[in-house]
Amino acid sequence: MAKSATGEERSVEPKPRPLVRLGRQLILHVHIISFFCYVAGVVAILILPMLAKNTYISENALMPGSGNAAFSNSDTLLARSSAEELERLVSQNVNVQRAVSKWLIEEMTATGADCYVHPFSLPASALSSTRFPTSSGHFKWNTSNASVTGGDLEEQAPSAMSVVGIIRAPQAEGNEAVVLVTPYDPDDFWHESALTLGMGLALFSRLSQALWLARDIVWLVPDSKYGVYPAVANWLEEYHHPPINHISSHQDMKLELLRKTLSEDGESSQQLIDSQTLGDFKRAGTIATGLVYELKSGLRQGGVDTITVWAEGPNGQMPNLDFINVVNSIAVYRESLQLRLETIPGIKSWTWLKTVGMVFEEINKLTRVITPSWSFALPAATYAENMATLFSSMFFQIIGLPTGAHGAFRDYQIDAITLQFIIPTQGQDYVLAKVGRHLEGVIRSVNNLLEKWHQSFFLYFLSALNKYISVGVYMIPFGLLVLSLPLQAAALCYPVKEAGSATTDVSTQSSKINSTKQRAKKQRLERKSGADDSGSWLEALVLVGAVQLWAFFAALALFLISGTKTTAEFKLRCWLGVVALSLLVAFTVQKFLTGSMHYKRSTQAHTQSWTVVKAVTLGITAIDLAVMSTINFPVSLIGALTLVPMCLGVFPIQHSWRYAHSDVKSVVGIAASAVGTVWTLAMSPIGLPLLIWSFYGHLLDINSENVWNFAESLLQWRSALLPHILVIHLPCAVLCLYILLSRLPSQRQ
Amino acid sequence: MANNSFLTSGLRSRQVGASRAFVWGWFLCIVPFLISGCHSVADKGREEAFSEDLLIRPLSDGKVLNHFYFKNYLHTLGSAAHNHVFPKAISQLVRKFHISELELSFTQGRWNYERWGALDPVGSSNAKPSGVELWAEFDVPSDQVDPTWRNLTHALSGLFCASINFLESPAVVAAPSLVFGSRINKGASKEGHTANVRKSGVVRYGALPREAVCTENLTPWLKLLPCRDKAGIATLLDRPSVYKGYYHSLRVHVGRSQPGGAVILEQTLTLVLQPAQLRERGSKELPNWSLTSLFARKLEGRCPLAKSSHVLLELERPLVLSVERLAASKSEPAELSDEKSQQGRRNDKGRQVDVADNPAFHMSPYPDRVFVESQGSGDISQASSLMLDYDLQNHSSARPLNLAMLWKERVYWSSLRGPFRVSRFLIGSGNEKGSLAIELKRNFDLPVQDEVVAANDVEVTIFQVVAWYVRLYLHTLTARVDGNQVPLQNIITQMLVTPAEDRLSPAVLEVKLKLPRNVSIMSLTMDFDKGFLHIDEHPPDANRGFDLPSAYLNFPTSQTRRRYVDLPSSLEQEYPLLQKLNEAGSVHVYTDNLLVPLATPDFSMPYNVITFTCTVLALYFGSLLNTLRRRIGEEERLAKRASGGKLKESISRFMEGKSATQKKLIKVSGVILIAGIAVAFNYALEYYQVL
Repeated sequence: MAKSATGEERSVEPKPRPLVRLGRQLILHVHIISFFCYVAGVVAILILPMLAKNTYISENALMPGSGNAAFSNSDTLLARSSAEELERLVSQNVNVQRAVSKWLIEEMTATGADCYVHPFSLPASALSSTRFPTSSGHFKWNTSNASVTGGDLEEQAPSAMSVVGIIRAPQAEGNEAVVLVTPYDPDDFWHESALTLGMGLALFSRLSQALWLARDIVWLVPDSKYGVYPAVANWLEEYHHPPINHISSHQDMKLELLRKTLSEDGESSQQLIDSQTLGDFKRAGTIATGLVYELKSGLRQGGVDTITVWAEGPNGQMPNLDFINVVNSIAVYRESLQLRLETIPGIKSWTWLKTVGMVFEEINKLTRVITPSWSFALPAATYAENMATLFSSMFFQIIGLPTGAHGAFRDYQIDAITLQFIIPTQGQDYVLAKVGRHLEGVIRSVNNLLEKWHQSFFLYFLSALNKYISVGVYMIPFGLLVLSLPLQAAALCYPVKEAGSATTDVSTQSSKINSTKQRAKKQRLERKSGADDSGSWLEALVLVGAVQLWAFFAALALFLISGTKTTAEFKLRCWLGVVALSLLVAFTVQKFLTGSMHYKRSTQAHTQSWTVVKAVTLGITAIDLAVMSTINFPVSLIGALTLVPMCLGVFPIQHSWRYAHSDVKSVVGIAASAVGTVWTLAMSPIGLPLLIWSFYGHLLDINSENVWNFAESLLQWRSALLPHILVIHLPCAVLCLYILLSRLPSQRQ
Repeated sequence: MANNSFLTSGLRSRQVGASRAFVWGWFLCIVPFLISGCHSVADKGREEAFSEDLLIRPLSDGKVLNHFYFKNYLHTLGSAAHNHVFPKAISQLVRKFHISELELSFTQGRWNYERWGALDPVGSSNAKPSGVELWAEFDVPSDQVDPTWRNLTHALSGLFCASINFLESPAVVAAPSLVFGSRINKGASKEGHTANVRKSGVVRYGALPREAVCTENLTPWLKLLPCRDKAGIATLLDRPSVYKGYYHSLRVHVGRSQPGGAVILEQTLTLVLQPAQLRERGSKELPNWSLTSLFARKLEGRCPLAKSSHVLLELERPLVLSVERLAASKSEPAELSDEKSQQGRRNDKGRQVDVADNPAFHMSPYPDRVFVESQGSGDISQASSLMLDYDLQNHSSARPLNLAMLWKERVYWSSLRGPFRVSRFLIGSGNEKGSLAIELKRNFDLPVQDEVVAANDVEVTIFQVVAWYVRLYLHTLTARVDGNQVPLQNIITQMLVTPAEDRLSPAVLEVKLKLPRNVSIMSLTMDFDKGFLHIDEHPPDANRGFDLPSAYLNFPTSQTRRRYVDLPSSLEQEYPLLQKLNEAGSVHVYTDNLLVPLATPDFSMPYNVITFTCTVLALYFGSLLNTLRRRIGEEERLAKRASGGKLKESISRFMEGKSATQKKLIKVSGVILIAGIAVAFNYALEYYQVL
């Protein structure tokens, strides 16, 4: 900047307007600026954990931990004895589901709660959630029973049955409710399930005696035979959108059947009374909050009892930050329980992460030498841990699958999280009491809330449970990353002059023209006549449009093909075939169209048509990424990280070749075009799968079936990742390949 | 003596204006005379009469229902300002606003129609929606009704310390035609469903679902009683025990015996309390209770001004049946399993179980009198409900009544439920639209004895007020019977609809349905859009959602009547509560309130708008001033004369003649120099700070 200013210093002419000058300077130094922007963006991502702020409870009404927990030792005893009783029952009975349901109904009724059963059938897809790579056991591909469709469901007798109990808050109007969910799997019922249900009962009975309830408490015990998520989603669906003929006599018959199976032996008349309404789907008003919790036996980690929190909903939607804060503050400050967020194992031990952390630490040491108060870096170990949490959180949001049953609530704008308590085998009672008090405290706090969750953030990342990165902070790296795209596009379509002679050019130009207005006019005229852009612009637009349309078609084809009833492998092949064919068609049409245009207009040399194509590609990619950032931020971030270098660095191979052999070459230029070429190849529709396979092939069971199923599940969960890959990444990669392989006019012309 | 001193203080308040000392002396002389005088007034029953009753009923889930019933009778509403017993506040209200009927209720909690019953007179007519509900019928020309209603709401608001004045806004007030009001209730049973729409527009109805109820409402209510809570049954109202309850409904009902006739003021308080020991789960305790355990008080006699004062304990029909069965099983355990012999025994009406001490429970003290309900039909397969009477005349502070029920065994029974289970709910999620659904599910455990219900079609009247911001689409009203959609005209006999007007009036829906007798499930659904409110129309807790008041349903049936065989007509005056129970009625059911989440703006938005506006204004004025003040010609002249400062000039002179690389080098070294100076300066600063 300083250079050009002095360059202009000599001329006595008035300076051009500052905005124009700024734009000119930006375009002149676009390569350096975009490089620095990208690097700054990456660095900004890396320092996100240091920018994280401490969480605080934003909503005053929550008052976490203000009331004393009434959950006492007798409740702990009840939890444990119920668990033992359940285990005994289960070992005695063949039909676990019936035994457990019957026990639940009896116990719920004994507490004076309204109770009913919610029978439901196998959901249309047997896809259970969801904690995808972290614990592969949880992730059931929908291979088995996938052929069941909606039509068959009507005829099928309900095969699963959830039990629901409702405590009517004694002094409230009953138009709001808090839902507690304790899942159990009748096919896989053992100690942990019994403990979870026992704790559920103890808590439920404790709450049934509470006079402070302002909201009804709904205890949902979903039969998670097909996974927790479908069971909860099914119940919520019926709660909010009851099927139009849900009250048909057919349904009644089914309920009658259920009632009979439940009350096969003699009971007290009290239960008979309630059995009459056992089939009613009872409601409790607007659901304010959902809380899913389960107890797992395990070992204490580092001598502290831990709670694992899952919060990511479908498409990476998060519950209100206050909810997590409440859970955290009660756990840490009252019950001295350790909370942790689920992380993908392995990230923490990445050496480069530790190295980066150490580098930051060293830099911090340096700055502290200069100014002692400048301390920003975290210790390397903490940094690695926070970064692992952040990456995992981003990863879950990118995949877009909910990490648990709480995701089902998110579809109805209900904030929910899943808590998993680790119960050690020794000192069980002590921990159970803590867990009970914690849950009671959370429910009490939620009960205090007057309005729905709205006070705190919904858009945030957590780098630790008490550290959050709000939207205002994490948009900065994204902005830095994406900024270079429009800059570069502008540089391409306003080719000010070649970088070497820029300075003199500008000065001579400015000396010629008197007023800025006139000059702009002149420039425009020049561009129109000289470069003959309109033709190549049209061509580029046709090309980009064709590729984009093809990408939309590919997405549509995926959707259409997923509806058919064939094997996954066949579907994948089918889709690939369709996509390849349609790409050919798209290019043929494009060639035809541009050919006809060539015919019409004078055959002037379309000198640098690839630059125009690149400019349009850059522009459309920038717009796509910006739009995607509002839909799913981490997806757009990862998109920016992968697409920006590709878009910036791509040059036709011929061009790079000539550049490498020309006189004005520089090492930086050669390196840039080499990186661009490699990157483009790596991110291409063929390169990327190969890359993933070569890196993660040994970790994930990648075969054509799984890939297709994964894509289908993304489609089903309405994850933003799939549209990103198909509608943004794919056309961009194809266009970049096109640019890479495009032929330049021979040099003589 | 305690009563006397109280009475003096009570009466003293009525003698306003007289000098205190004189009044004291005067009263001390004539207290005994005054008391007898008051009695004579009460005994005559011509001018004014006051009676107090308490109905207690054990409920099937171990809780106890307490229904306080105070009746005040004023024969003529003369212009004379003085009443002896009848509260002046109410008589003034009636006179000023020409009220023919008025009902005001404050309720906390919800009546559990499934467990606590809906077919009994108490449950059917005293279960009220949570919050405040007010309806009134006026005896004024129809153009006067609205102003009268507005004034009435303000008067009641002051009288009962509640925000009833919010009901003055016409946007929440309805004018029902098919329900509420004396003329309708009486006409309906006789004329059937023929057009009995009353002269329109004399009744107004409003509800405040969110109004909190507390002692501040109870105290003014008690002030209407002649003895307040200082004597008589109202002494039981210990505030902590009352507000710990599971249901609490305070009600004031003002009626006229005929237009312009005697004024009848009924004050009821319906409480559902839980005996203390039941609170802990899993305790094998029986639901024993006594007045002291429920209220922490004993009954130390009657209100001296009351004409009659009774505590009645009701044992409902299914409970009596269960007890009888239990007693039978105790005496002849072998026959329990035998179905036929059991049937036979039940038919044996001669068998009576001791009401106060039987295998199921023990009552103390022994009741003064027992009334047996007379069954309407000849069918005696059902047991009759019993009413145990304790006359408070026999009790005093020396001999307080502490009614207690001690169970010997847990007895299970189910209260008499209404013909239908009613639920109202919202369908859909999101802030855009939804549906409102009312679902009626048949209770098939109705006693066979009720042929009226069993054989004929069931009549239901549904009354619903929907605030204007829930924009109903009336054409989407759909009725489904047993899951199949039926044409509306098949089941709806009468429908009155008042469409909503934005910010002016709510939508009011009155539907009279006739359901076939074998219907098991009926549902009515209607779609709606959610409206947008102005920013100043939102309440402070807008993000909570907006309350929709309860819907009201009415099933005409004779089942809510209780007639007692042993009650001679001569004694009827003595038992106003039993008289009340004998009135023909219908099952009244209120649904729960609903909460409708509406789209709420970000309330920090005005702040943002202000910030933006200020920025724009600042930019505008800044550039305007710049343009006005700037003299371009002068600037150009200056620029020509000295293109840059002396420093710049010297730099450019220094730069002249240097090669490009040298220039670059100089510049870079300059930048490094400046940075170095800055760092050194900073370091020095820190250093001095440390020092």
